[in-house]
Amino acid sequence: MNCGRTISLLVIAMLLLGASAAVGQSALTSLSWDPSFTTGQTRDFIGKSTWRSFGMDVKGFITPQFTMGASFDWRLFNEVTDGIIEIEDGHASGTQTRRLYAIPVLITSHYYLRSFKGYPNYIPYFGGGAGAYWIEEKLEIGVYTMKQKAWNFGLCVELGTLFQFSYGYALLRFKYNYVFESDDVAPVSWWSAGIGIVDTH
Amino acid sequence: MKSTDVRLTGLKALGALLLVSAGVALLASCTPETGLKTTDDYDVVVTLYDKEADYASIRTYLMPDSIVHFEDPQSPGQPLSRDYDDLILERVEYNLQAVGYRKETDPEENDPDIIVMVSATSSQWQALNYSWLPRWGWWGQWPGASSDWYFQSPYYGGARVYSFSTGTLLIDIGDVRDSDGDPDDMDGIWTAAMNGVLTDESANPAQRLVDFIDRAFYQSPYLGAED
Repeated sequence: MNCGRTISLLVIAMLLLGASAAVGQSALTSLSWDPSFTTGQTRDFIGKSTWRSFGMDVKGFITPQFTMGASFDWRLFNEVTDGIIEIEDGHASGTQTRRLYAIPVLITSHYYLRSFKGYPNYIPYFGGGAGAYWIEEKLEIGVYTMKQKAWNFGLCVELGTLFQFSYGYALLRFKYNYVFESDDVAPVSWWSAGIGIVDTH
Repeated sequence: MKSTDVRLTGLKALGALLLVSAGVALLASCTPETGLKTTDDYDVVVTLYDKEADYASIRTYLMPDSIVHFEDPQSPGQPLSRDYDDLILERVEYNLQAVGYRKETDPEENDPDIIVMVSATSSQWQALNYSWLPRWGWWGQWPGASSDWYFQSPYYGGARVYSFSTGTLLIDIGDVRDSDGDPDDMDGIWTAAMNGVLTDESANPAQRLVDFIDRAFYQSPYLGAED
């Protein structure tokens, strides 16, 4: 996915989130920065962690401690390496730029261990999500480019806590994402440790 | 709606707009540059091979003492220098012998197992397949660059198409053990392509050529005669 399309998706998602925040009642809207680390097979492709990782969530309360919502993340893993790689019917060696874009658009649900009533100092929570992940793997070596891309189904689990501060809540969370393989793209997985801000209204 | 609610809604809308602007600016700036910056970064050695071929039983090879320059008749390029031809051929032979293949010194009496051909592209080529080895004839019928020479159509799972720059050095191995002297039955079993190495303007082109050729053999551990 090129940068323009990524940004377009981001803008649309943010506008949707903004709109829902403007009209919604009893909702949580959060923005987070989620440094991420590849795991499993994905680590063979890119071993380097990334700070280029942002997340947005909007959630509505079903009960005082249970939410349903949607999340949109944008993440880019990038690594410049060298060495020998296996290609179809052979091998190639030289300086390589490896990139992995992972953009989940998920339906989420979360359970908060404490009610927001009374504005408690901290609120631990856990939850997860499922939905579509845009995965784009790109390998540039010399003048050659190999690219694989697909929308694949995936899941995430999340554990975190909210901390009260003057305006609302700050967020600390850990997430693990797993994207199932398809004909075009191998399974992709990563975990992230994120911080963010949460607007409650 | 109270006036304070209206103000809060306006502030939130303004906040959302600021977030959108910040997000767009952030993402636009966070795609990193490619790691390919200098000439050296574009150095690529590609080796393609036939997984069904029997490399271990190869004993002897034959190699012409010149390098063929191929040119696309549709888009001719600049003539390539031949300053390093001897160095290239010597280094290829060095590596062939290092993996245990022996030069056939009397091809009139003894057929070699393989023929090793070294060539270079003097114009841009768009694609390559390991089985592209041109049917350019048996030893003694070396045709040089032919106007009807072509690459076979490649297929690498759709998107994996190779494009070779002008000045790419190519080393090919053709298995002639089952050919009975018929050049049309020669099987291409190995290709090494060193992209653009002959047009590099680096400080030490001779050393780069040696390194490239050595790397092609190093990343092909299946080459080698059994003891």
